[in-house]
Amino acid sequence: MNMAAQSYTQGNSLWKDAWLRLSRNRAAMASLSFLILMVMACFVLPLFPCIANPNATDLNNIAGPCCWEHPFGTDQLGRDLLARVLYGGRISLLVGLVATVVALIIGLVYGLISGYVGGRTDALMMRTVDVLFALPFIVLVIVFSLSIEEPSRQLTASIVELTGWRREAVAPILGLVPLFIAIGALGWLTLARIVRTQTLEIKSQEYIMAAQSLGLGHMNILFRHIAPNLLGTVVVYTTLAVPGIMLTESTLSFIGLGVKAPNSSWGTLIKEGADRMEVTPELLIFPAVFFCLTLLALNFLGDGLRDAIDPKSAKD
Amino acid sequence: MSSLLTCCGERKSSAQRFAEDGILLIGNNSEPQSQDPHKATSVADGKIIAALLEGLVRPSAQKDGDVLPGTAERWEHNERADVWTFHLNPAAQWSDGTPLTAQDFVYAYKRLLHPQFAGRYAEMLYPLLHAEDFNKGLCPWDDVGVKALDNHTLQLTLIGPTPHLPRLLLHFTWFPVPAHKVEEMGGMLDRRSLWTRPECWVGNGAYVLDTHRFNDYLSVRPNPLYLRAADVRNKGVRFLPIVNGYTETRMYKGGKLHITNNVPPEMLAHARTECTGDYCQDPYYCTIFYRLNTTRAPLNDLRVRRALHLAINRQALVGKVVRGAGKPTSTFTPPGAGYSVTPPTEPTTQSEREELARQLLAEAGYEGGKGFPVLELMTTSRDVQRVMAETIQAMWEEVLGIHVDIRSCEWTAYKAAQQNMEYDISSSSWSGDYLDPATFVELWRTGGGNNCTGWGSAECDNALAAARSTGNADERRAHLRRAEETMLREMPVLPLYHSERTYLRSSRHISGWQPRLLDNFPLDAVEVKP
Repeated sequence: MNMAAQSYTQGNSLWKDAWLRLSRNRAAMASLSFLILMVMACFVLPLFPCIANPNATDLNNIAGPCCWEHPFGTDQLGRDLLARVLYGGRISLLVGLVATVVALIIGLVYGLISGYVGGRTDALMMRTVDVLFALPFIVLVIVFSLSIEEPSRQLTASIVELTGWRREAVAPILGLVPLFIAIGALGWLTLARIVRTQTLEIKSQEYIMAAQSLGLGHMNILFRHIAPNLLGTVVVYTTLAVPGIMLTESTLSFIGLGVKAPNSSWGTLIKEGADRMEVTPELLIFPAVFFCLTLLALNFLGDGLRDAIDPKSAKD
Repeated sequence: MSSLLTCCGERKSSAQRFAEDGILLIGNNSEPQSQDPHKATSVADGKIIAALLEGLVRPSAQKDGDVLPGTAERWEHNERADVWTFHLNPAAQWSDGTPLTAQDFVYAYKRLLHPQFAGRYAEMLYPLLHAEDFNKGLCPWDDVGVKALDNHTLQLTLIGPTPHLPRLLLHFTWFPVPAHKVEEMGGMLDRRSLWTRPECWVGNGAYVLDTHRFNDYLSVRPNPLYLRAADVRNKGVRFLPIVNGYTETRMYKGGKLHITNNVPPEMLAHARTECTGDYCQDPYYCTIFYRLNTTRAPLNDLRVRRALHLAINRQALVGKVVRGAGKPTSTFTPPGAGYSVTPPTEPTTQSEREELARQLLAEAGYEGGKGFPVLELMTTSRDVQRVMAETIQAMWEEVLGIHVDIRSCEWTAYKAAQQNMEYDISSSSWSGDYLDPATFVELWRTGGGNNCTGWGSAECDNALAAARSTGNADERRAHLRRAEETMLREMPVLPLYHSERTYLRSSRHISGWQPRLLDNFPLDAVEVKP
C-alpha cells in the first residue's frame, strides 16, 4: 500500500508535454539544431580571427577559387565570401528576429485590447486593420523606411558621440533600425487578427468569468489570464512569420533599400550573385544555400511547434 | 535528349524571326521618357528621336564625324562663321504629307527656348544670338538669331564664330517639330501634349513611330515620305529598354536581340569567349568621374579634394574593376576631335601619390583621417557604379583612413539630388552631345545647368568666353584647354576614366554597322540579314 503511494506520479505540465511531442518530431529537432548552429556560426564564429574582414577588398584576387584561406572563394572585389555570408547572416537573422519581436508586441497588445473590450472599439480597431491590409505592404514599407531614415542617421551620430564606440562597428546595425521599425510596424496585422479571435474565445470561458466576479482589474485579467493562454498560438505564428520577414528584408535589399554597401545581407549577396551567375556561379550558390536551408528549418520548426503546442490542430 | 534538341532547333529564336522580316532588335538601356525632342534628355531617348526626326544635317554612315545634308540640301556662312544660311530641300515633307518649311524649325527653337516651356536641354541652343536671354525671359523672341527668310531658307545668327556648327546640329535639340501637329494637339507650350503618341505621331525622319508598350518595347517602321526613303536598308527597328547589362547579355545569348547596349565588365571575358566575332569594344566620347560638392565642408578645401583624388588607384580600378573597358585618366575631356590636355604634374608612382594624399589630408587638419566627417557617396543603382563605389570606398579607407557611406539611388532621385546639390560626392558620367571638346569643357561654366558642383572661377569663365568668340580653330582649342586646366587645378571633380563601349552585335544578322564615338550611327544604314 505504501508502494502504491510511491508510484503515484506527478502529472506532466502542458509545456513538458509539448516539449515531449516536439522532441519526437525528428524534422523539427533537426531544424532546431541546425538553427542553433547557424546562429552560432553567424554571431560567434566571426569573433575569431580565422574569419577575414568581410569588407577588405583585394583587387589581385577577384572571384578567386575556393582555397584554404578563402573556403568559399572571393567575390567580385576580392572579398572573402565566407565572411560575407556569415556577416550577411547576422543581418538577415537580426532583421528576422527584431522585426518579428516588434510586430509581436504591437500585434499582441492591439489584438488583446480589441478582443477584450469588444463592441464599437473592436469594430473600429478591426476596420483600421482592414484598411491597412488593403494597402500594398512593400510600398508602405518603402515609404516608411525612407521617412525615418534621416532621424535614424541622427540617432546613429548621437550614439557614436555619446558612447565613443567605433562608428564602423555601430553603423551597420543601427542603419537597420528603419528597416526593423518599418517591417515590424506593418507586419503585425495578421497577428492582431489571430490574437483578437483567440481573445474573444477565451473571454467567454468560465475562468475569466470567475476572475471577473472575484473583482480582478482588467489589466490583471488581460495579462495574467488571457495572455498566457494565447502563448501557444503566438509562438507558432512567430516561427512562421520570421521567414516571411527575412524574405521581405531581402526584397528590400534587392531594390536597394535594405543594408547599405559595403555591408551585405543574404538578400544582397543573392542579388549580386544572380547577376553574375554565368561567370561565377559560386557567388550565387553559397548564400542561396544558406538562406534556403535557414528558411526551410524555420518552417519545419514552426510546423513542429504547432503540432506540439496545439495538438488540436495536428493534421493526423 | 536528341528529341529535345531537335525540338529546340525547330523553334526559331526571335532574333531569327525578326531578321527574316528585316526588323532590327536593339537593346536601348532605359525606358524612353519622351519622343518629344524638347522634353527628352537621356541617351536612350536621343537614339529613338534620331530615327524619328531629321535635322538640317545628318551623320554620315561612312565616316565618323562627317556631316551630310539632311533636311537642308546646302548651306553657306559668312566670313566670321557667325551667320549661317540653310537652304531646305523643297521636297522635304512630314509623314502626313504636309510640306516641311523653315517655319517648322523656327517654331521648334522657340518652343525649346520658351521660358514658359522650361525645356531641360534649352542650353544646347545657347550658341544662337540672344537665345540665353530669351530663355531667361530677358528679351523678346524677335531678338533671337533665328529667321525664316522664306519657306525654304533658314538663317541662324550665332553669338560668335562657330565653325563647328554642323556638328552641333546633329543633336536632337536642333531638330524640327511638326508645328501644325503640335498646335493641333494643344499648342506650343503644352508640356503634356500627346502629339508624340504613336497614333498621332508626325515626323520627318527615316522612320515613324509604330507601337510603344511600356517597359516592353518601342517599335518604328519606315516612313514612306522620308526624303531618302529608298536608301533605308531595313524594315523597322524595335528598341528594348533593358537597364541591367547582365539581363541584356543573357537575352542576346538567348536569341532575343541583334545589338546590345552594354556588356558589364565582369561579363567581358565571358562575352569574348562565348560570343567570338560578335563582341565589340569601341572608343566612346565619354568620361566617368566623381562630382564633389564644393559648397560643403570639408570638400570646400582644395587639399581635401586633392587628397581624395590622389588616393584613388586608377590603374587598379580600370584594370580590375572595369576590366579594361576604358582608359584611366586624370584629365576630363576624352581625347578626340584634335584636342588633348596635359594632366597636372603629380607624382607618378601610386605609393608616392598616396604619400602625398596623406600629407595633404594632414595639412587640412585630418591627420590619418581623424575627425574627418562621414561623407556620402551617391551612385545610381547600376551595378557597375555600385561596384566601383565600393572599390573607391575601400581605397579611401585604406589610404586616408576616412570612411564614406554609399547611397544608391534610383535614377530620377539621383538626378534631382544632383541638380539640387543635395549630395557630398556623386558618381557621374558625361557623354558628349557633339564631337567637340566644348561639350565637356562648357560644363564647368559658373552656374551652368550641368555643373552641379557649386564650383566656378572667373579664369575658367573668361577662357570659355574667349573660346566662344574666336573663329580660329587652333586658338579656340587653346582657350578651351586653358579653361580645362584651370578646372583640373581646382578639382571640383575627380576624373576616373574615359569609358569604352562594350556590346554585342550579331555578325550573322547585322551588316553595315560601324562604331561611332558618340554612339550615333544612323540605324537606317544597318542591314538586317536572315
